Amino acid sequence: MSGLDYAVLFGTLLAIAIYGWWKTRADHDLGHYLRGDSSIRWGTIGLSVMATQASAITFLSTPGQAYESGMSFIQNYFGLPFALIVVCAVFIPIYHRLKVVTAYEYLEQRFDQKTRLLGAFLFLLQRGLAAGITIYAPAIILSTLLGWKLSLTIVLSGLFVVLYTSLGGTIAVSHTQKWQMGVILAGMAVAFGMIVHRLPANVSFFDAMSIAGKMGKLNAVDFSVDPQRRYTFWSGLLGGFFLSLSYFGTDQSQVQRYLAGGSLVAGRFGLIFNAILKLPMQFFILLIGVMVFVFYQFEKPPLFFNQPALARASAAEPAKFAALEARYETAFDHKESAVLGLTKSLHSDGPPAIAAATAVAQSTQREVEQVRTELKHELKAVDPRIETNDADYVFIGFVLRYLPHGIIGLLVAVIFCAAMSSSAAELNALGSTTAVDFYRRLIHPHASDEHYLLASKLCTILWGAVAISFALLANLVENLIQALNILGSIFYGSILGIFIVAFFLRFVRGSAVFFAALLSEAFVLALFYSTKIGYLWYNLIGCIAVLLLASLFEKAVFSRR
Amino acid sequence: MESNPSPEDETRRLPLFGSWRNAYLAIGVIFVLQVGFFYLVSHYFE
Repeated sequence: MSGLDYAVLFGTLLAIAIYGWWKTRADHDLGHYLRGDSSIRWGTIGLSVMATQASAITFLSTPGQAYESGMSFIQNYFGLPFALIVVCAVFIPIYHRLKVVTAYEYLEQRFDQKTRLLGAFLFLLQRGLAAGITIYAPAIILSTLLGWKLSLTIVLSGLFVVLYTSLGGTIAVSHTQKWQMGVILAGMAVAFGMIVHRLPANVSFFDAMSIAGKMGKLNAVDFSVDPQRRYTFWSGLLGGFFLSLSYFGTDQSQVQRYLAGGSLVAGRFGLIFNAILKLPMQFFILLIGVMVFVFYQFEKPPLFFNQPALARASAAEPAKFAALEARYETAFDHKESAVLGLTKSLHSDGPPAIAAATAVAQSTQREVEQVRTELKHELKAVDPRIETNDADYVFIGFVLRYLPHGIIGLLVAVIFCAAMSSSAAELNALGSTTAVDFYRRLIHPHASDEHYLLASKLCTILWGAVAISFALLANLVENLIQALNILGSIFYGSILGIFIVAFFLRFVRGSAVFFAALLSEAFVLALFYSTKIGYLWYNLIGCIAVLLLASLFEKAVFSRR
Repeated sequence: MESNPSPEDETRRLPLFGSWRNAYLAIGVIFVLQVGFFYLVSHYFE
């Protein structure tokens, strides 16, 4: 990165953080700190909800996923629009009517204290861990590629967020997220334009789409009913519906966003904005990954995208890795000529010749993949702790290698903006939930607003410290965005089940749903450790288990007391 | 904090869609169009 890149990066981050602080500098109201105020309009809420969900991992991992396995990840979001309709129609009116600060307050009004605390505890547990990954994920990748010290990157990005989140609360988070999302969308649009611009002169965007399609990268919709497949239309629609319903309806980091405007209309409209725009946005990010794939058909990509890890392993066994590198060169040369042949065929030949050229290109692609698979085995043999999934390094590696200075700074700012916007929302929600559901409810029930304001700020700082510490101790897990979704899916089903029982099964009382949620969570954990079911199904299973068990317990055990 | 608006007030203040029912219906229709577009793109370039 050059001086210009650093100027763009730090200029963008500082400007947004100072704006957040400036907007809230004179506001010392507890209600505003926790719930925001009516100055937050639906557009800000919509962008804020989008920014909370779109973490840095979204922009690092998603293009890499598309590069590796195509567009199928889009199906993960198919249930989201319908979940948002339910949140708009059922959840938001109830939260507004009861004027709750956290979603879990409602559980005490509907059931009892222990159910509220269980809901809040499950949220703190999974979101506290996720906050650590949210900070760690971009830090590990940026520090590896830019040569920055990992611990310093984690601490700096973490401290920055803790500072403005604890000082400004919900209003600062919402207003900064609006601008962070603006930078993210602008940065990704520029990246897309630059990638298409860097394709060879004789390859148009239409040709690029054809090459991607022929190489199996545009597989966006799969109607298979095989439960072992991770992303299908059905798992996305059903599992994704329950994941999104739980995330948007019961996760305080989102609830706090759409309650922030104070008006029912603004909150609902912010969610409708997301229901309509989320799928095109994800499609666009995946398409960026697909275009990077096409670009690398004509330009030799590194054998392994996490190059510092490869360099360390190569130093241990230089001859073995040099032989693999030589085989890779040959395989890539074969593929490049096959793809050039395919491009030529697309321009001038009929379907049979195109089909023949496609078959040759696909076979050379398999040849390249075979060398990469062997390399990964060798890497594991040299160091069993090496993470062989390098998909998270594909997009940022491309940016650093091929994009001009200034744009690199903008795109690294995109990654940091995304990291900061999601971790700010998480810390804001963790701080509020701890202060409202535990501190005010259990420890110090009758203090002044000033006291609770200070407690909320301290809780936010405390969770910031926990997240930074967890990030400092974390190890790289498989694919980062999947790790976050898996973690969420394990807990979200049970939490959602509690809320669905609260809304729709009026005959069920606190103890029945409390024990049902505990058992369901144990069941989901057992499934996670003992089966290979696609993780999206945990959301559905956990939720249905709570509904069934709570009804059963209420009828068979608690109604007799 | 603003008080909750009446259903009439909500409808009057809802731009683009007119009513919440229409807004939800629009989300469903747009979803079908979006998935249809993804499907067509996948198969057209296959």
